[in-house]
Amino acid sequence: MVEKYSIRTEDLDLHYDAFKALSNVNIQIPEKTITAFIGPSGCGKTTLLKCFNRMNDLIANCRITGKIYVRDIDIHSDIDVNALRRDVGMVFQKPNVFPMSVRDNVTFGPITHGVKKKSDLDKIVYESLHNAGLWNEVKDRLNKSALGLSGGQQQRLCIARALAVSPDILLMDEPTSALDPISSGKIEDLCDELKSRYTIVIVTHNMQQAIRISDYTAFFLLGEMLEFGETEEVFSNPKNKKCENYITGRFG
Amino acid sequence: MHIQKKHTKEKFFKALFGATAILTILEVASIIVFMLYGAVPALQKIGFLNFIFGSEWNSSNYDTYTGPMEGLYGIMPMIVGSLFATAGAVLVGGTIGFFSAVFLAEFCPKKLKKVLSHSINLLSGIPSVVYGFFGMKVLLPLLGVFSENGDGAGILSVSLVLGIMITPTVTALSKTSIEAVDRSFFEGAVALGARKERAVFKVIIPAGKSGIFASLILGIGRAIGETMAVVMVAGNNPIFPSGIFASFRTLTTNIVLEMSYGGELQTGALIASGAVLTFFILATNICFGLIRNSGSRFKGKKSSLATLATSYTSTDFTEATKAEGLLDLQTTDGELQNSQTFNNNFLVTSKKTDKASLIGKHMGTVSTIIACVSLFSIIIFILVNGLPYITSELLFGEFSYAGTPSIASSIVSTLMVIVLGSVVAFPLGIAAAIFLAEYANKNGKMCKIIRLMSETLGGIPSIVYGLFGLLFFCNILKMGTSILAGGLTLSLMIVSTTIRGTEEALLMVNDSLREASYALGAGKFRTIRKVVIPNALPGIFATIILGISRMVSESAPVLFTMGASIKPMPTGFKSSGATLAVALYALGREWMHINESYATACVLIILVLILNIASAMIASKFTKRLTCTT
Amino acid sequence: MRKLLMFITIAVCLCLCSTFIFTACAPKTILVITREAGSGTRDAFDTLIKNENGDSLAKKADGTNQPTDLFISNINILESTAQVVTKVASTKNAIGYISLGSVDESVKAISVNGVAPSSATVLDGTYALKRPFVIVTKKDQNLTTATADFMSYLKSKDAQEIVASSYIKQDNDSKTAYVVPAAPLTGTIKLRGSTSIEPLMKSLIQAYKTRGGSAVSAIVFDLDALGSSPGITATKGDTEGNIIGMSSSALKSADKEVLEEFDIALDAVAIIVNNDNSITNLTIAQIFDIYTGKLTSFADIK
Repeated sequence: MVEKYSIRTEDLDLHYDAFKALSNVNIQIPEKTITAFIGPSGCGKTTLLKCFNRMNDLIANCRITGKIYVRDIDIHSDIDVNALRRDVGMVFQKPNVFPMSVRDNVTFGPITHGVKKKSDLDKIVYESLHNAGLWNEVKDRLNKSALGLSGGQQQRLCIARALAVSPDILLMDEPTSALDPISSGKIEDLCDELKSRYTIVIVTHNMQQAIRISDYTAFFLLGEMLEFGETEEVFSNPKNKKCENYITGRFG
Repeated sequence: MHIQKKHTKEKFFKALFGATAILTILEVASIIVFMLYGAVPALQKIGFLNFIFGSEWNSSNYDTYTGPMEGLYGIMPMIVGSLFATAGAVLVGGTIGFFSAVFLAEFCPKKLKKVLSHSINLLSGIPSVVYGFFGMKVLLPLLGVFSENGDGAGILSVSLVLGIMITPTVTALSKTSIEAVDRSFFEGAVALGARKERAVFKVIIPAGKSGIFASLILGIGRAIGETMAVVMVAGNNPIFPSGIFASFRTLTTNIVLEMSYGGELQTGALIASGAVLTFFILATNICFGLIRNSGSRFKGKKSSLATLATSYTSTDFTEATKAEGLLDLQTTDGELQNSQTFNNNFLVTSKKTDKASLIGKHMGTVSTIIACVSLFSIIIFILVNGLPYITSELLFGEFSYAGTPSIASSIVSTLMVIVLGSVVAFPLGIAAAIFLAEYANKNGKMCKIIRLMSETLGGIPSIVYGLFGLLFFCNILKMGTSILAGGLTLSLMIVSTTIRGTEEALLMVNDSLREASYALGAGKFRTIRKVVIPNALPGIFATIILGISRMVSESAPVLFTMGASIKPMPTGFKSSGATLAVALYALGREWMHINESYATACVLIILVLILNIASAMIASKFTKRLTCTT
Repeated sequence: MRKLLMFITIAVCLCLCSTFIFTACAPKTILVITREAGSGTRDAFDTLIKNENGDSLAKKADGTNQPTDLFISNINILESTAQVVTKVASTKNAIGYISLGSVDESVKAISVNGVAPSSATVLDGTYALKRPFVIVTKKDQNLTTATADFMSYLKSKDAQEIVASSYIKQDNDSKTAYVVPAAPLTGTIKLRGSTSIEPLMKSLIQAYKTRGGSAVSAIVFDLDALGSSPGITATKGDTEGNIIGMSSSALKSADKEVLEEFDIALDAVAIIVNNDNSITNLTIAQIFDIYTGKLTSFADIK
């Protein structure tokens, strides 16, 4: 049923100094779907997410063993990591719009990767904001500071920013945890629209959200992936006992 | 019952801290008042416009307010000289300082960072007289190769020397600002595929703009007020500077050259020029303050982009994109479309696009190297010339009028004056900073005024402090030339840097800590005492050490208030005497003791080195305790 | 557009470089060094250096002041003997002037009008640039006992012996020997004035203390040398009778009216050049022209 995998890992281990944050993770993320990572705090979901675009490289004492493949390319081989991050976009938990205008936020990525002509940039601005569902709300204030937007709008701007460089994978780290329900709802709707074009991996603490939007779900505990499958299956018929306990609220 | 008690206690402390903050206003006000008091009679006699715009300065110390005026008192050449010197200094020092800060904050290998930061800080502890000697003996001959008469003195040499002198100020504050920028901005930029230097220069630096700006203002203040180093490398001819190697004079060097023998009118004219300088600083601070506040900190870039964007209103855009058939973003099978696609193969390195940021990064490395090389050259210069002459007789010998000089009395008077200055300045400064950071309404007028005053105080030239100390402490309060007068003058001088540094340290303490304390029912004072201050201690400590370094190395404020010659061992605070920095200057005055002069410079530098190392060690102990890094 | 900018920048850089290289290779003009306006040495120098018309560097022949732009425009004004010596010693084509007593092997003192400076040539009047070291106190001011005693020492034969070791004696027969006071004296004596006299005064204080022994050991000497003019100003403002001023040039008439003075020593103003400079003699008129910018190269003087 699944034709292609966007992301695959093989026997992935991750150590921060002596602490083992990820153990023997073997996951395959199907293309153009939404996969949710769930699990209690500190179980390694965000850590694993950050492996996919090598953001963990920024942390000094991080050691990775095992392999990660994005589009069947080993991302720890000799590749251009900036190009990787262009193709694997990330949205963070707390909206981190740059202290610049809305327009400059969106064009930051494209300019980084070589787009120079103003007409091209303008097109990108329009499309990205439109695809993020933000265009109508900001079209009259493109040159005002992005920090003047509401939390929900800022997060959608972050999504627009990520979309502006045409990634094919979007990694989202608890994108709605800092937002109110209405904004969260808007973002969930957005994810639904985006999945036809992008592979989305979303870390979430909110199991209802996972149920609402994701096609596949992975359950993590203490750095191990204990369950993976289609969302409906995982939530109605979990195979792993600990997963079942988490889902039914016995802990977490 | 309990609630009632805390209320009065809180009010008391708020009033206490507020009072110290208001003292800063009083300080500036009294300095200005005294400047005017000394200046107005002179201005009346000379004529205000003649004074400011007159192009000839040829003073006569026989001129009085009542008799005929023999001399000419036009300060325009000196005003122009000061402007050029300051501009040059900021060009050199601002550039080196800023780029060094960027390098140290972002690109420096972790192991080198501490060493390099402290090395650059060390530059600020080197006495200005030492800079002057170095400039004269090493820099001027080098520059002189390119000048007509083999003399390197002029705007170029002054800019270079002043530039290096203000580099540590600019670097330290800029570095703090850059480091304080939220890391999430950096991560966001990198996650989009930006290289590190692009993330730094395009996102982090703009976010840290206001602190970087403030550091430049502080640098300007330091440059405009520098005296002793300038007087040795400028040439000092009171005429309009006509080229980079032309001999010229600044307002400050004019004061120090003529103050000691000024007649009635001449002294008044000199005080008036000090007042002009002070007003310059005040005006600069007000202007920059207005600029800073009008564009609020987080606004994006302004007018140029605004005009660009207005040409693309939404309706225009929709029309344009409709014409190009792009508005139909939905294809027939409902997929969203993106017209722009990149080369989706990340095995191919994308070409480096942001060349400017890359150049910036290299400039960072170069600047740090320049700063460190300057530091080491100066230190080696002093050590080579002075180390051989450090004898126990020099250090501990008994005072004699002729015969081998001894700086034992200077060592003691320096210690005494530092203790006095510290005891007065640090509690006041820290209390005022606490008021500004914790109690005052940040947007309120009071806060803004106090901050303005504090910044102005920091910009007042050290020679003006010397003048004020002479007039107020020595003459009016009848303290005479004494350690007491010197200590009080010095304390006035470092209050403002103490306030600023402490305020920064307090503001860096995360609000969540305060919130946690309040949530437990602790009052404001208790929170400050038990939570905020302990967390801000590394910063406060660094500020204190900076202040002590400054007091040790300054000569202009104590030259007139404490004495310009080496005296016998002081017997109390009423004794006069030369501090080490002044002793160095005094010994060097008559050619016989030039070696002892260099030796004293050595002692001074070693002292400053020890101070800085000690502060670094203690600061790291504090930080360890606060962050639990093993 | 970018290429044009680069072109212009490179062109400007090349121009600058060639100007620099040109000045670097061209023969250097004279670097003229003088002292600050409050210096007694400067005052003496300016008064002594005259041109053929009788104008000195300080005043014209008719008594009016010379303007500031009389001097060569890139004249270097330095604040102390040490700075002058340092600069002359490190710059080949520099010229300056200092007290003869401060000359050592780092610089070369040249002859003036054919006469080399020494105590002999000063005393017999052949060396033209001489100036007195003047000790002053305020007229009509009662001096403290300690100050009066020290003044009597300064006027004595004993003091002249100290003077003779590095300066030129003022040997009058009217000088008598110093008499140590019977009762011990106390108090502070303030000495203010010339940096040129400072070393001499220090030796004199030392000798006085040795000579007077316990009678004078309690006296505190507060010596602050900021220049002749500050010394004169301070002495004029004496209210307690304990200030002694030191001036390294003759007093102006206005000051003579309010101050008691006597010459304790003679000193020569030595004209110094760099050791590598081949010049050995200059006339006073030539020195005038050098300092006013009419003579700009040592090569023109031969």
